[in-house]
Amino acid sequence: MSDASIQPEHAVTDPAGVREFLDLLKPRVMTLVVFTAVAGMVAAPGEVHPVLAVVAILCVAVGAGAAGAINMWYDRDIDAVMRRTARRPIPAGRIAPQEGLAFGLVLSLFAVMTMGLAVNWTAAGLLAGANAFYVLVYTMWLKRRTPQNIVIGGAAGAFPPMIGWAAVTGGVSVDSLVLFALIFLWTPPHFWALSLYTDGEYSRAGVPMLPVVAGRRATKWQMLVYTLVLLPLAPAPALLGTAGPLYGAVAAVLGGIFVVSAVRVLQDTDGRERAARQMFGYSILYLFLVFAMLILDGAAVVAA
Amino acid sequence: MAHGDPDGPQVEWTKEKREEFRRKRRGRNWALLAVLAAFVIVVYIVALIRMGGG
Repeated sequence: MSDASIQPEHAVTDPAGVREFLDLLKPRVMTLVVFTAVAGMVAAPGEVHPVLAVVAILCVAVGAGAAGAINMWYDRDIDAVMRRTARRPIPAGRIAPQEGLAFGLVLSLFAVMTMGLAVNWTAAGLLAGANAFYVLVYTMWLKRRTPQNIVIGGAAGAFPPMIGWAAVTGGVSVDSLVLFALIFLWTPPHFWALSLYTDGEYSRAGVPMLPVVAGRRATKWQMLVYTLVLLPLAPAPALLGTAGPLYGAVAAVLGGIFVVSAVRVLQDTDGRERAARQMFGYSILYLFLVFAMLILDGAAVVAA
Repeated sequence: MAHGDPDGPQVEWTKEKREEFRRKRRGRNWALLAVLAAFVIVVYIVALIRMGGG
């Protein structure tokens, strides 16, 4: 290939490599999405061919990553002014915005179509719905307009266990809706804990996060309310028969600790928000352990 | 931003820059080939499973 063939029309200071495109898929978020989808599959009654299960998980991972890429394309202006997000590939100038958008759209389409053709169309519809909700409802509509952005937008992140469930059963049930509700109610205290110690950045970016609009005290009260609602909901799969009593007991204990951490955040008034940082860390551990218990419980049932 | 922007800063294409550009593009092309090959294999296996009643 001649050198002339690689002389671009426009100035390109640093062309994007594979790593930059992988970063566009928000791999850390993808990990949690995949994990909760696997939990939904394991908890669901019924069987699915192992290869189809792997394909379903791949589709969820790629679909979630694609939605993340489109989110980065749309939010590139506010990402650039926040320290936490300024090094993302698009605001950092490592990937052109239109490249990021095309990458996200193509991957999203591939993930949904592959899920439909290989697994079933209920799971594909839920995956498409989750992506559309995340991009259109959360990113484009709510995020910059209302302090309740996280509450409603959190539904997008709650879809994966439902998708995993649908991949096995071909439908939606009360049990999978409980798993959806678990993540839906977990999201506000999780994100508000983060925003309590990064509210200056959100304020500078013009994102109306609750601590910016309603104040820290009101946010901390709402976080406590959500953890209290979550407390009886997390063990509910044990009552519905989706999981065993061990899961129920562990979920109740973990929920109790989550409530205590919200109370500590409420009592923390010195402005450094150390309790909020700890709660943010614990919230990730909480969701991981609850769904890990669900997986272990389901695996134990299969083994028995 | 310089990427794809005709009004962006003009870059002098030194030998090193050209090599770097070529290396990254080669990496992207190989990655795309790997993804497409994997996709073909997945479609083939899924088709076998679905036709077999799986």
